[in-house]
Amino acid sequence: MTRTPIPDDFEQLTGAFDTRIAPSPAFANRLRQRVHAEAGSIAESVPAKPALPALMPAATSREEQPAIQEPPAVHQRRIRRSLRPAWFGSFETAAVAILVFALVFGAIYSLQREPSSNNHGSQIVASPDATPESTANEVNWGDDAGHSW
Amino acid sequence: MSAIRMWETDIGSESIAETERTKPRSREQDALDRWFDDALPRIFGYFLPRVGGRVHVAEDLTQETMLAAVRTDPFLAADEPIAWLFGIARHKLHDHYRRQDRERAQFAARDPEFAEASADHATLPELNLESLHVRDGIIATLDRLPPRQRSTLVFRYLDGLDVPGTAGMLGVSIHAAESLLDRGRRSFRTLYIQLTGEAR
Repeated sequence: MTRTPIPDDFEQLTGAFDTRIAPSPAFANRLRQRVHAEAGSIAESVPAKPALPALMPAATSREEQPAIQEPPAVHQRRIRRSLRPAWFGSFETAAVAILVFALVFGAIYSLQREPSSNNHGSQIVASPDATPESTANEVNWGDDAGHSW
Repeated sequence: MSAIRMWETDIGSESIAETERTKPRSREQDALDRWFDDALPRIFGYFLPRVGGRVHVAEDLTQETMLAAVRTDPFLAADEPIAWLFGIARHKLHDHYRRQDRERAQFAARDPEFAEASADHATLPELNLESLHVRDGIIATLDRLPPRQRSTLVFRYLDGLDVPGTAGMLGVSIHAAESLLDRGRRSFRTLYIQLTGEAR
């Protein structure tokens, strides 16, 4: 006995669920904006083809130049343009280095000068009440120790 | 450092979007809009019955599909036939089914109301596919099937792929696909009759 083949009763479903259904307008609008943003951002990453043939700079009018140089952009962003010249960074670094060096050198110099300035101060204070020894010291700076004149 | 900051100034917060709105639309933008208006209801209509009528799931999958198509090549997408777009949609749907399969295996026990088909010779009644009641019944039945059987039936019958094409989509052998189809058909018949009360 042969088995009768069972017809495929599911074939009736083919294509029955391929109808167009519009989603909500809010979803459609949001998705449309995202699609355009995505297409615009991808276009930015692709190297731009030259829009015009090679022209002499003098041949382009002032009115055309802003349109050629205008960057394609679809994203809303805040533009911050720096007015600092290019050389200002290295100038900044040099000024800071000089300032630090001056501070360090000044501190070292003042520390080295401290002992001689202290002696001079004590002699000035002591001079009104000078003892014979201190008077001699006042005259004798030490370079000619031992001499009576 | 404030002395350094004085060199930077905010020229003006230009809204590029405002600038774009005043610019004339390019031909590419118009082509993209035409493609979008044609593709959106088709893709959304493709997903909605295949995800059990869940609008938010259909919206998510539609968005993934449309953005994937634009990322491939936005200007090419405007000229390519719709079949290429449906290929992307089918893969997104398959990924969705596999996610559901993993979630069910991880979190949910087998649906106690689901019963294996016992009648080998039961057939589907002749369906009035223009009836909303019948369409809802089919969608609900598909939604309750085990994910692998559902994906097999959807790709084979709703999408119209042949058996080798269905096997390729699922990543299984042709023999495995035929086995899944057989089990899926029996399960669908049993469940559909249970849900709708219709009998041949």
